[in-house]
Amino acid sequence: MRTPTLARHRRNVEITLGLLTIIVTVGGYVLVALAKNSTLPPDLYLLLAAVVGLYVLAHLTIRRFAPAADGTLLPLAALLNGIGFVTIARLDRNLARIQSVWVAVGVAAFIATLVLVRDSRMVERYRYTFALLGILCLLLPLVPGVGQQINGARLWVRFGALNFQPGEAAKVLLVIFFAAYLVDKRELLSSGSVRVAGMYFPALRHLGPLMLAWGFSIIVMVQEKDLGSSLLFFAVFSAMLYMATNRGVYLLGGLVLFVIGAVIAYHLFTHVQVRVTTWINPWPKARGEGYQITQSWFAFGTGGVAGTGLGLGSPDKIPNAATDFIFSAIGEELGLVGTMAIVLSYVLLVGSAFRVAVDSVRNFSKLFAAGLATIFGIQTLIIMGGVTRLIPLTGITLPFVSYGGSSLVANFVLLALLLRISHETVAGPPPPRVRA
Amino acid sequence: MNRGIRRVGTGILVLFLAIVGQLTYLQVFRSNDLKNNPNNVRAFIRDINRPRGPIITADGAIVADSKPTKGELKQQREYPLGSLFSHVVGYQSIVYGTTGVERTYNNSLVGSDVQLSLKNLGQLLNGQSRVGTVVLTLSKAAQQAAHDGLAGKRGSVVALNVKTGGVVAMYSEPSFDPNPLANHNSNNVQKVQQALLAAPDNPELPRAWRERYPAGSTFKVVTTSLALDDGIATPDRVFPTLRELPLPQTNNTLQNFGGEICGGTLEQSFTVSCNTTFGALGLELGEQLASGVERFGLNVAPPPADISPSVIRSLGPTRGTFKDNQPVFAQAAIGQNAIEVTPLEMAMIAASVGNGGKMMVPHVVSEVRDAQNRTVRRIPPQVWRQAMTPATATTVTRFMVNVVDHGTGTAAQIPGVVVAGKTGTAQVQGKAPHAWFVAFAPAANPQYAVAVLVENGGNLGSDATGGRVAAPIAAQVLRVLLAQQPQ
Amino acid sequence: MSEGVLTVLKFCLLALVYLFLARVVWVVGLELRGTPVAADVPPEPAPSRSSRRRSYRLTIVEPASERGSAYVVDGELTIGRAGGCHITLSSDTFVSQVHARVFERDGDAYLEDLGSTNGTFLNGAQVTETTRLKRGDHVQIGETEFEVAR
Repeated sequence: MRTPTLARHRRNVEITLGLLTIIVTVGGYVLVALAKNSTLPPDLYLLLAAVVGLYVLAHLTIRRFAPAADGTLLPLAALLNGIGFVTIARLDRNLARIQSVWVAVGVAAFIATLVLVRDSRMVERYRYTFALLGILCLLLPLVPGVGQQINGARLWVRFGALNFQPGEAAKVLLVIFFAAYLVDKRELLSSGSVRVAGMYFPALRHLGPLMLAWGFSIIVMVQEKDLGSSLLFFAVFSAMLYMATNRGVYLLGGLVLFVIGAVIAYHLFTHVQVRVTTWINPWPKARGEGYQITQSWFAFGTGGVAGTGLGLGSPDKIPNAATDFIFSAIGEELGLVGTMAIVLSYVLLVGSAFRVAVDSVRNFSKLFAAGLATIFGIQTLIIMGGVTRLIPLTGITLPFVSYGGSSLVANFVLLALLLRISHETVAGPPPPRVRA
Repeated sequence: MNRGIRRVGTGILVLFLAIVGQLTYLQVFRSNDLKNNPNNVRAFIRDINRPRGPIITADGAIVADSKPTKGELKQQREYPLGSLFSHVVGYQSIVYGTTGVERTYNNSLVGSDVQLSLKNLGQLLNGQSRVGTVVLTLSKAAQQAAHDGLAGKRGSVVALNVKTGGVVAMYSEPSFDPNPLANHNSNNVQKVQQALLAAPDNPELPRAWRERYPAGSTFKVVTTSLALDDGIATPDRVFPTLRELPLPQTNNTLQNFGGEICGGTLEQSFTVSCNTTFGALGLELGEQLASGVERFGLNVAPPPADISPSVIRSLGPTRGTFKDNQPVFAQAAIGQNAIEVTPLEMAMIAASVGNGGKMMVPHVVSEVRDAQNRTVRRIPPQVWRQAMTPATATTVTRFMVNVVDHGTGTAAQIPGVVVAGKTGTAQVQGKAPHAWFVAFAPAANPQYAVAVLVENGGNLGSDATGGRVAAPIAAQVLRVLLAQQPQ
Repeated sequence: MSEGVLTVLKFCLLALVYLFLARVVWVVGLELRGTPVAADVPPEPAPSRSSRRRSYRLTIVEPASERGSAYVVDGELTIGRAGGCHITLSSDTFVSQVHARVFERDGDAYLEDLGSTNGTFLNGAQVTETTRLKRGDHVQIGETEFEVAR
């Protein structure tokens, strides 16, 4: 009956921005082929159809199931995904073929999430189930026979021909648990009842489950040598604790725990020491352990302001250019102009996600959306900081851009949940299903 | 809760600013530095597939040029003159990257020079060739004369345009053929490189600017200039006639060449290259010698020349050491002991005398032309330092004319041209001495300066002197250069 | 394909990306300034006098010490131990932090359990999904019992 003009406006924005996204993706793909072989790519129309089809499908799903949701989130994610795909196609056509399947699976997961999760309170209700599932997901790679070690990190699970990282699913599940748990206990956690050294701290039994899930996930990830995810979890959960309670002491506490953890990890694990020493000075080992990071710097430096042009640089000199170092590959071929566009896209994506959180009325939605926004933000910062040598390198994907199926699917699910919350803020929760 | 969310959101955005800062640092401020890092092969991979402009000599001979190939790499670099220019011009190798002019003028050769791109924006769009031609200051004729003069003797010849500092000849023996190193088969290239490294006398070493030698008596040009400029001696000052000069702080003495007895005025002493006179001057100059050699470019950062690999620093006695090491200064005054110079540095010293005391920054390229043969960039003459006053330069020129006219350097005479020069025979521990000759001509209006070094006296061995071995080579090179006039 | 043409095309592509980003910034700016949002928020049903009068109330019947306290639903009432709830039952350990909520939609009141540990009971039966309330219904949360009135 009422078609709110806001919803209509947002959907129109989404489709016009989508058009630009499609042009950029297909245009980039054509440019790579022109640079490499001086011909149009043979599968141009297939790609065009796929890009248009997937975007329109995602858009129509939003139109039907979350019509009042924010109109910039999907286009921003699609732009990043498109630029990422072009870069992967430029690096390795076989990887691009696999990635295109994952994009399709990701969009399917996006649609499924929007269709199935009609009410964000649904996810709130199953908090403990999700926590359990999340922890199981984290443990799965350690199970002999199922777990796979790739590039020194044991984060993979193999089922038949399919490899995936259950840690990415755990990321979503645990954030749901944290949001729900924190909203429940936030009064207790922010007031504090135990007095230590003149300061009030919340009773251990309230913090207990939190610390347990937190500590557990980090221990598991350290065991799997996944430093990037450990750092991400730590930062995101500290931030969520702070946002739920407004108490700076959690941020400070998180930082102190992090420093302690980092020092312990440094002394315990040689791979952590290697990371730190190559971060401080990679040049003496530019042909050894420092190869990756120095090549990454060369990529950025060679790109300069304007970039070498798509298909005209040598980003394949960087190991793992399609996954962890995809940002360096973009920096080489599109230059500072390109990297700034990527950074700006993330700033807008994360900003929009935070706006969804601030605008949201219900506490759980608020904290959940803020948690999702923080994940996107921190994950991007960790890998961008890592490849530019601002911080020690920890392998993690660049959301929506990097090659990697599990991460892509997880990010599409996060995006769908954000859109769900955004829609509810404007339109209210769906009408209750009334009994009798 | 909103306050906390806003704060975390703001915090994350601030952290993004740090990323923006780091990206700007890497892609703007460190860009060139990273592009040129020896471990970064990107620019090179890009360049080796691009058309690349030729390098030609001042007299129009092609030193380097690229031919399109049908192989995996799209361009093959060729060096028609082989070993004649290989030290200066270098090579483009898929294994070892670029060296020499190929390296320093790479951007001009591939046409990525800003000046080339802007002038040729039209061609940039329609895909025409936009490579640049690099024109050397060196001429093939002079280079050939240097090569022929050395005739297989280890050593070096450097000739400069006195007024501009342009290098007109710079050849070191032994040299090497760059063509096998530019081959596209990396295994072959590595084998050739191994063979060159194992070869006697290190043919890849550009002795002219990467090796230091005692200067011998050619350094008396510097000692004389300093003594005149610092008011320690006049041309007529009479020095005692001696066989040897007793040295302070030691029982050793400073002997004249071949045990001769010599002395007299400064001018006479210079003509016959009398060691005892200059040894005494060195002791009188003392600390002034240490500070004075810096005016000539010793003990300081080398000149900012467009030469690759870069010119190494020439050395002299260091400041503050006179009090404890006085014999060093007496020996340095005759170009021994603490004096270690490159042949290029000696050529620059000779040129500065001919140029009223002004020492120019040497350069090996005169200009860059675009594909339409228009000059897009000229390398301007640049004064590096004032080595001596013009008055002193005039006096020293007279001294040097005497040397060639009736002193130790008569072998450098050229019919019809007044040549100013100075011989040197630098003692080397346990081996035959190095033969030196520095000169410029015509003395009245100097055009070219030249420094010749023949290691360990060449085929004359211990009988060699600068006058017998090096002076004729210098004369030959000067004759070829002056015959090319006007330029 | 000449490098020059590719360079020009690259800049065209980047220009499109920035056009995209500019449009996003513009849209976000509009929403932040509230222009379309203010005008487009789905019109809340005007709180007319009649609807206000017909608003549901919860009156405490147990425990006896609190008997008679009444809360107007007025849109939404959250019940729980947390201080942020509309009805705070801080002394009752059987009550979850945010235990349940009662809200109005289109003139009707609904009861919803918010995933409490010990459950919410309507007329003695545990509430498993959102359920419409009638006048005179009894709602049991922990040791507290409410009666629905309007």
